[in-house]
Amino acid sequence: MKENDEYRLLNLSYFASALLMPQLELASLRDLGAQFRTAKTAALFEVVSWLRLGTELAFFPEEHANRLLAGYLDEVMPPTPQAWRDLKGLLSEQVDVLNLLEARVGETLSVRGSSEQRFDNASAILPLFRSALLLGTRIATDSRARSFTLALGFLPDVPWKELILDCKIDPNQVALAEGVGAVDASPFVPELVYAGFFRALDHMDALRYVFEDCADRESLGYDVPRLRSRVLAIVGWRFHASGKRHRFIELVEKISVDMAAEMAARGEHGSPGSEAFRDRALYLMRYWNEEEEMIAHGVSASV
Amino acid sequence: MDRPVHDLNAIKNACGSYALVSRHPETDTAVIFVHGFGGDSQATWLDFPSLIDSCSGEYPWWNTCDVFFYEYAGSRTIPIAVSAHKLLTFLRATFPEPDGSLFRFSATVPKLDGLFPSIPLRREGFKYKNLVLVGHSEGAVVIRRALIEEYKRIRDEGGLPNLRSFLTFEETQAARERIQREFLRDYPLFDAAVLLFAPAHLGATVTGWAGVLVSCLRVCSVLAPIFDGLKAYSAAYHDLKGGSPFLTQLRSDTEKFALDFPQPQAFKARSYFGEKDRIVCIGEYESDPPAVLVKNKGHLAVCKPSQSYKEPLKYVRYERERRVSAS
Repeated sequence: MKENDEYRLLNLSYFASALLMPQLELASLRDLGAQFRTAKTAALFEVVSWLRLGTELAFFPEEHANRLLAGYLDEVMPPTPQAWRDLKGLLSEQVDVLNLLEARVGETLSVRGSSEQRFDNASAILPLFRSALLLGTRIATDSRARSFTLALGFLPDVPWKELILDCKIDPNQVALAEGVGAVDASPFVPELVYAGFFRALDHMDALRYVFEDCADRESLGYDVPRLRSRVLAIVGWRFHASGKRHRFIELVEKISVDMAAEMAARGEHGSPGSEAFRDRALYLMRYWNEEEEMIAHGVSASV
Repeated sequence: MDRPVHDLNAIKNACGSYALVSRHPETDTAVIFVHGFGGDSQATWLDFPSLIDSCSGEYPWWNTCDVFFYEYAGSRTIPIAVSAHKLLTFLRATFPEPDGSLFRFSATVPKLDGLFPSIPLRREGFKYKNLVLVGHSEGAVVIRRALIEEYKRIRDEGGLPNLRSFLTFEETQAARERIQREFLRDYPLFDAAVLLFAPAHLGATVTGWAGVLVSCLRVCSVLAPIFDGLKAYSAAYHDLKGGSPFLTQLRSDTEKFALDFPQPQAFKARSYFGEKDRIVCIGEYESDPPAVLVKNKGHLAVCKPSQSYKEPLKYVRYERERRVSAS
């Protein structure tokens, strides 16, 4: 083994225990209909993407990471050409990488020739990567956030409106839904979706926090925005606020109105709660979608 | 910058928890973080794991620590005493002698069983010398309750020496110190330094949409002004009310044990509260050193270090040094 590989194996041990195995177990459940298969494929491909990025940064020892991938290749890669096409439709930011991986499945985690930018100082960025991986693991294993992901990205328009937007929500039930463990109920119980939405906001805020906190560190240079883009390309699809941003906004508006009504009933008209919630939730959406970068490149993303 | 001093590993039998294992050969301290109401091992502490390594030049003390971010499930639905019992089980399995799986590739990967080297990175029987327990909000209560449970167990099994049986002052003083040293040698958990961020040991919590925010949002950097502005955070909404039977018992037990048996530092916790905290009642127990108020921080932000707020990295070290000097 190469120097430090023994220590880096611990990182791989964490990855296998906390992300790979739980995601494989989740994918083996028959709890979702056919229309959600793309979500399952994307969740497994997300695992591969983390492994690949971690290997590129030498967070994982390459030889052992490749061994791990080879062992589970059949289970984590899209199984059919159609699955690859669906995945490319969902992960439009990663099409180049997906094309390369599709052509070279099983060879290696280092997909040389991809259009992704390399890091200037991989060692210096490792603590940040580790934090991002921890948060990515938290997102991937969050059953409430998964309810929101499925509703936002995959529920047809009519049930989205009737089940999610038009229903009356008791906030205490949302808090209760958030507090229970993994549930067998349909992922589209409205309170679960709302709880998942708040969890999604929390995940988005967490990722923003760790990246913005490092943004001003000169020693890291462009590696911070570079890593941020790479990470968002991996996890962004879960709260696919770019493809379904109108739904995201609809939900924010509804909750904002409900919060304002509750506060008015309590006589708290001067409270900044509902307006502040709306503004900040939409800010997080724009951050998650990297819309500032889109605006800078002349693409409209007004809210 | 060199590679980070710490590597990541999952913790056996503690789902959601993780550890940062130090490469430093003089590692002798375990720091265990326990999140609060609705929190988890990651979002409650956010940049802590990152800054421990990226600021290792400024805070080299962390290099000799293994750091555990413990997670317990159902913090809103399970009684605190149950969470505390689970924490105690974890503490017994970790300190002073941690599980060996922490120091090797220990993931269960059925298809590749035996293909990964399983050589431990620490010698067999490795033991920590020091323990620091760090809790946030409800996590503080969980820690205090776990200590009380363990103390009562030892007491009921006759493990506590009788410190009141000495007749003369000199005899008492000398013997007390000796006996307490022996007690801490046998039960080093009670020699832990305990640091509490925004502890809910005097009460907390809310309902309504504000309750949803508290329950679902752990990070709240972008959303923090909502928390600070909500008038809903009044005593009327508290679940963990000051004066609840649980908190009253906890306070009474902690203060009594700290008085009866002064040497164990674990009953004397240092609390840090954000001045903007509107969720918990600010204050400390009789036996605690005075609480510290942190400017411009709220309930959630007080325990999250950042590039512009590195004090939490210092606070943890201070508490450990305070404990060492007290010993």
